[in-house]
Amino acid sequence: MAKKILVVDDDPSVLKSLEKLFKKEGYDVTCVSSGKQALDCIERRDFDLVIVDIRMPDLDGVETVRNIKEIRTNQSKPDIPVLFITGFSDVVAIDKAKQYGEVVLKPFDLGEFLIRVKQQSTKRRVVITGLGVVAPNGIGKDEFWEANIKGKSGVNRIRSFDTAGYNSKIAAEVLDFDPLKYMPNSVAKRVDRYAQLGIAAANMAVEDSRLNIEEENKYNIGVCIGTGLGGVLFHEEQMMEIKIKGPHHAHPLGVPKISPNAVPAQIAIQLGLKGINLAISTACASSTNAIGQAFDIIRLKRADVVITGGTEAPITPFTFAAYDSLRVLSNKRNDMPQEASRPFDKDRDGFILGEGAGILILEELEHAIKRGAHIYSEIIGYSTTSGAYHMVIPDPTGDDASRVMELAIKDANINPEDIDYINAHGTSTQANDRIETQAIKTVFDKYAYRIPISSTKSMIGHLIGAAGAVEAIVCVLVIENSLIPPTINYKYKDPDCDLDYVPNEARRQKVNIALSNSFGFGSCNACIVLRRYK
Amino acid sequence: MSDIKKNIEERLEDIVAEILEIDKKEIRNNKDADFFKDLGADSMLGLEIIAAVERKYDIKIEDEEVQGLSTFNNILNFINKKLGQQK
Repeated sequence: MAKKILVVDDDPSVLKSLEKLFKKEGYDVTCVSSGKQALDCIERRDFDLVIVDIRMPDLDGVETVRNIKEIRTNQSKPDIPVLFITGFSDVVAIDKAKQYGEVVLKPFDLGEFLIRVKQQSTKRRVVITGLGVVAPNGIGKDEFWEANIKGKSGVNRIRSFDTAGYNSKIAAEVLDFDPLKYMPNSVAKRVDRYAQLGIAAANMAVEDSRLNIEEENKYNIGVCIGTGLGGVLFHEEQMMEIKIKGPHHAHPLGVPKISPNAVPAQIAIQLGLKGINLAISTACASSTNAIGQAFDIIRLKRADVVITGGTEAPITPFTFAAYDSLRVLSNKRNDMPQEASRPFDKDRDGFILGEGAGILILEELEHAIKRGAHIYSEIIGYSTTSGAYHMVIPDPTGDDASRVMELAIKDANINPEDIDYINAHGTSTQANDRIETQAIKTVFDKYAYRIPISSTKSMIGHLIGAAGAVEAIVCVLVIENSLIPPTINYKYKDPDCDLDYVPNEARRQKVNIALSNSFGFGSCNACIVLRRYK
Repeated sequence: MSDIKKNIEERLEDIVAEILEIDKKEIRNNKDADFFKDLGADSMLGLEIIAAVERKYDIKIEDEEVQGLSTFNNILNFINKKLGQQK
């Protein structure tokens, strides 16, 4: 079916030539010569793209588009993409226009213009319609959010194994997690803990989204879930078993239990989902990458819905020992565990290992609107890069960190100054927090000092492959509630970290656009941008 | 039944009940019921039972021996034979 374009320009010669051009390309074109006429059209009809001149008498281009957005919202219809055209280099007007759509300067290359028109009129938008989270400071979206706002820490002395001989003795475990609340025993006993957390969060998210999985749509719903390490707990237990008792004591389910794709596979099996099924593994960036890939999958029309996020359960004797040996874990506050995770604080001495899962339901906008879904926010940008630097040490220049943020902002089609909140990677290591601060300043320049930045890891530690997803959920809830959770344990100012980290107390603030960073071992970087959907 | 034999049989009841998720009563009612044909087990569950038996009784079951082990009584007899051989 032909895409419908509305062209708004007070210059009749422009209208005539664009009408001729678009008709030739097979578009269904409507031309009007004023903003007011454009609004009349929008009231009565649907369009796939609006092309509007910025400088017009009476109602100018930006005002027209502002009104169009209001009309569409009142009609409960999605936004229509907008392309502004202008022959004048009025920087102020162009900046204002960029908040609402792309700007094309006249004279423009015809071929380029047509490509942009095609892109804009066929663009799919992706929104978030369900959340599920199992975190060290709260199980379930509501409990988790309450804890975040109150600055409640989920860090404690480790309970699941004996820490004698370890330098660090604290972690952020999910206590009181009962897998049987979220899955039948036949599933619970056949998966590793990391999968139990992920499946639980996925069931919560699907329930939250009220998505009906039926014959028609099960091929159209994908699963794309991140994990850095997979089923390490069972792996370690089995290794002990076999070493002591011999190889025939190996559990036949060993491989499927420890595989990183156990979670997306189990979710698909339980819910009968026959679409895309992926596991993404990029260390600490895994779940941000998973969300970003899910975003791309929907944009590319490979699915209308994707269950995405991440899960990790790394608090195990060997894995913890490995991190301990790497000397990245905090070990100065074993007797004050709740104060150990202190991102951006001068006295920080390493991160706290955490476990948990975060799952988000990503959905194509029209699909969500059609079924009356509750829409949390929209994903508008994603980027992922490699710093090509080191398996563990971050690039001290922070160039790769600033680049990934810049690319995500560009993908979102916004300016850096449009970001109202940053959920930092903020691990509480000397290196990351200093370098991330530097990278933020590179991207945002002086505006960096005006952005509230918080680190969820101050309360729940580092969830490795699940961190990005849980932190994305925080961004969603920040936008939803106009409330920013604090970076707790902020006591001593570090001159190298001099930005606004929302120290110790939650802050009431309306946030329209949020950015979330994840920088993984191996120089794997990922960044997503979320926007209020209204 | 002597004490040792009772222990062996009870342990097997626990294994089968847990893996097939059925009541021990159901097992005792028909110890010749076929796991696959009568009790709805798939090949994976069958493999889990074999592996659990190997672990719990510390015996080795070869590939060729697995074939006939599809009912409670078959497995019980097999275990007793193996344990008898080991003495």
